[in-house]
Amino acid sequence: MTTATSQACVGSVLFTDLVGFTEFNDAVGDARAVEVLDRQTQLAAAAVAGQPAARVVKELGDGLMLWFGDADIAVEAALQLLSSVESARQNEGFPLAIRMGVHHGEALTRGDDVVGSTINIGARVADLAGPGELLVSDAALDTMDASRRNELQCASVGPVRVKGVREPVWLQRVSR
Amino acid sequence: MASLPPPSIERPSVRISTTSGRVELVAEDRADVDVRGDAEISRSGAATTITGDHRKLVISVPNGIDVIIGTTSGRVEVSGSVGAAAVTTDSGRISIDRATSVDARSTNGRIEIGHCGHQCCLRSENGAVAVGSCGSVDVATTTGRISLSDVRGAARANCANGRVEIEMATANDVTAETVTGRIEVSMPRGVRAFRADLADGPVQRPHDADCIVSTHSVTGRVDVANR
Repeated sequence: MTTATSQACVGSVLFTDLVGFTEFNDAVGDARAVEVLDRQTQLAAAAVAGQPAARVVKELGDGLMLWFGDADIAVEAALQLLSSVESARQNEGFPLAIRMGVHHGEALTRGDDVVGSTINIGARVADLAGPGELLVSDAALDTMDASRRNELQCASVGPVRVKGVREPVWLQRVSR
Repeated sequence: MASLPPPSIERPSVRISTTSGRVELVAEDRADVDVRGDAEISRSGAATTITGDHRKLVISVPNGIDVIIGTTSGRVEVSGSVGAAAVTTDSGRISIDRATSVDARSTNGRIEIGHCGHQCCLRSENGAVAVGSCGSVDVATTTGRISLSDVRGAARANCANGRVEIEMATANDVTAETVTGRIEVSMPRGVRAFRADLADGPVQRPHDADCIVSTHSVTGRVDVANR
């Protein structure tokens, strides 16, 4: 249902998470931990810069939620962010790996936020990813331009059951 | 689209999805797929799709078949020898006896792999992970202990808060990383492993080294030794 403060939309959500951030924060203190969060935000902003209909929606503890007009842009931004973080780890001592999940579907805007089942599923997709890994739902991959999709390496991870969602969500591990 | 490793519709495969019921899959010397329990069954080419609910399923399949299983909270137990195995669960325990390759992911459940012939990819937030023998392996947990034995390929382990134990059977590269957990890497006798700290960036393998063991822990102890 759409209300005066919400509007229906279709797009792709990307969740990121810094692996082991809580333990890292406990080990090194808040100041160093905030530096790491700030660097992640910088790298994410760079990954979406110049992309149409792409934005960082909000920070979620040590992770980020980003929204994209389509899955092509979302997957491209995710792979770029993955590469940027890996480069930062090798060249500037960025201490933690990142993991990410992408899902595509209908949602509702609520102010600057985006809410709905698509968002909940996207968060669950990211939960299952490992360090330096991007998981993408078949729902997102199926909407991608065929030539772009064919450039990706995809490995089946299988069906994921999400509480409250009737149908299983099929996932692929995606890399370039 | 490339597919690695391929539990695919062209190869014989069984695709199982349940909400919370326990799944027991038995691979044995037979030609058909037999399902005991309430489930919808459909077939497309060489793929059998089984959709259950919250009740237990016992499924008998031919040896070597690819299996893809997804459940919310039920335990998943695969016995016998299967092909490529992909399993996801939220809180159920996952155990796989023998597979050619494995991708298993759990939020809270323990993951146990007896033997994986080739690539083994395992993820758990809070459950421990144990592998009896495998080819290359890539494991990540948040708090679950990682224990890898008889590793015959490259090994990668990442654990924020649990202990990591890797027993290599061959001279392959190892990458192990924790925040607070202890790291123990055991190499075969006579293998010359070059030790590197991941925080120092990538390194080239010296000519007199057989492999590189790259580790990093913020506060945990790191031990690398030959046995």
